[in-house]
Amino acid sequence: MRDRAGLALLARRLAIVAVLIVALAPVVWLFSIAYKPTRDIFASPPQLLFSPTWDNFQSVFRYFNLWALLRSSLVIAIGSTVLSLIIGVPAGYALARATSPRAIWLAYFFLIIRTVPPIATLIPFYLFMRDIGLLGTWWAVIMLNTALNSAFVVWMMFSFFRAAPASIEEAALTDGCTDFGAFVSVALPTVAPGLIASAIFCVMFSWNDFLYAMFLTKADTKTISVALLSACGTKDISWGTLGALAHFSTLPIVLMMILLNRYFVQGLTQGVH
Amino acid sequence: MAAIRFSHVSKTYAGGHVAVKDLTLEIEDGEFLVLVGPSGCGKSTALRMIAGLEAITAGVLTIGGAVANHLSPRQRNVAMIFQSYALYPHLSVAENLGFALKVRKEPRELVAARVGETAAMLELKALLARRPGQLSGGQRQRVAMGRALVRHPRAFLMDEPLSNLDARLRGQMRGEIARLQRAAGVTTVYVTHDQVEAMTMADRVAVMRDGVLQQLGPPRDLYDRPVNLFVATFIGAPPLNLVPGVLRWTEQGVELELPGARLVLPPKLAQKNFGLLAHRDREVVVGVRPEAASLTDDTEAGIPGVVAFQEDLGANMVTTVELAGAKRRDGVVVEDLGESGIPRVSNRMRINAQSGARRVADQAVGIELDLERLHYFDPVSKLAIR
Repeated sequence: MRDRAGLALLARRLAIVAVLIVALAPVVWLFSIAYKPTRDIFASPPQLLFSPTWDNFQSVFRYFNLWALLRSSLVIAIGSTVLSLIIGVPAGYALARATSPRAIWLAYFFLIIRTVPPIATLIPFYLFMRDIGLLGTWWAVIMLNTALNSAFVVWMMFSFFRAAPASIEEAALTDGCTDFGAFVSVALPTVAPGLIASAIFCVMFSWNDFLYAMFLTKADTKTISVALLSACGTKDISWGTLGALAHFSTLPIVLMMILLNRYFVQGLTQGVH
Repeated sequence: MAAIRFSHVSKTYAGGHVAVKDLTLEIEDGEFLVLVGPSGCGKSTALRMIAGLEAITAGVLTIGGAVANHLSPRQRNVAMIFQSYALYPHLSVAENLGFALKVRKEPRELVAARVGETAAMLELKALLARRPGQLSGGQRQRVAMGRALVRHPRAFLMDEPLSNLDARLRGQMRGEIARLQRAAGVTTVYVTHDQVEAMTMADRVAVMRDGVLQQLGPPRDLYDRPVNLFVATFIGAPPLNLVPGVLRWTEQGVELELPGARLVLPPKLAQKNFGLLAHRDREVVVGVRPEAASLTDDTEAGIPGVVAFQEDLGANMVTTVELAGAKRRDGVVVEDLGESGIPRVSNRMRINAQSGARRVADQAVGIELDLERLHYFDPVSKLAIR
């Protein structure tokens, strides 16, 4: 009996290791090429032991204005996240507390907005941004990301608020709060994991956005995700530079996930039902 | 502290469902009123209308003499205790208690003093730093009570506050709430579906059914003088026994014909109740409180019956007896009453004795009735015959 349990545990651990290898191998490879001299990158068999080089990082600092790229990514990610939450959270709350049974359909409609392929909207948005004079600015990308992400926030927060009992807000009302006061001081703190999870999703979507940033920004407003493409030249791909740049585009998100991992998991499992 | 008055208040929902119909009710200053009835009877809606959480469709609600129909909950200064307690999960017990005072921007020292005072009264001192999630059901209930008490509100509104507690704690808290209410002297409206809570805690009880107030009065009045079959069977545990009967005027006086027996009513009783005369030779529903009947081994005395089963409750012995005399009557009485949420009129009777001999199933017994304590109801109108 004991042996069987031990075997099952071993099997489970082996399965986890296998999944981790499949998931992490490309990442490890991408990161490792940043430290390899060019001739070792595609060496066969792969060189597991090599003398690391900083050349690729040096060329990234030489050819890219890294701080401007990171600043653009950060401004767009934070700007669109803040706007998406400001628009999406109250809307989700209103839908969750609506007495009409049709509210749920409206909530699903918002989810559908998020599933529209961004490429389908690119040309109309491009023309629109050109006409209102925002082409090439951070605002263009922030606004588009906000449009898509706020729809997602509405749906996600709708689920969270629906799972939270309305009686807590009613208690706040009888305790002397205004409707807005009850929303801010009671309803919002109750769904804090949902707020954090929504914010993480928004930051991730915006930070990783390539399409809108590619076509709607110009040289000085370009984001790090667009810069990654610059590593692909007309004749060849500078793999080492790509690996070095990938560090800067990935690590901020990974760091955020490590810090807020707990809320992210809660956000995925709670409220959504 | 304030009197609360409903005059001709109704609540109709968008779909046309009428939750409360033309309710007129005055709750006196400092009174403990219990609104009782089965689920969906409109009692919670009435309570929420006082709190301002439910809009009033028609009629006038006054709190402390002023019309409150359009006041927001915060303008009413009434405290509500919810069935789920509705404690703020992100705040500590101390912050939960002080929340209402903080919202009203009371000075910090006053908030601290009142929270301390309330916590001491409810034995919550040791728990002040905890979050609601770390408390037991009984502790949460006390925090919910404290949150209402700390404010010195004009009225307490309690929506089934004990229904999430186990039976023992519920009994304990019944006494505690009644004691705290009397000490504070605050007008209290208490909603419950549990008639035991209504009987034990209330100054007056209002029984509701399908949005309509059925009867309002002190608990004992409702028990002894119910106005209709619904109130009669809702109040009291074990419930009132309903037996089919016919009233006949004979040479001996007024006779009550029950399954298997004819009982002559005392002359003064028949003379006192004019309604009985109007039901001469007609079928009536006879209500027998379980303690208004007793068993005897003499099968010749009283109504003959056969023991179905016994429930020994320790202090009490409840015996269910099948009346032997007649077959079930399948008249209008039996059919109609079963459908309207009232226990069926039947040939079974539960008898509650403080102590009683053990009897076995199928044992023949006689049932003696306390004729002064019988209730009579019209089977069609369901109203008490008086």
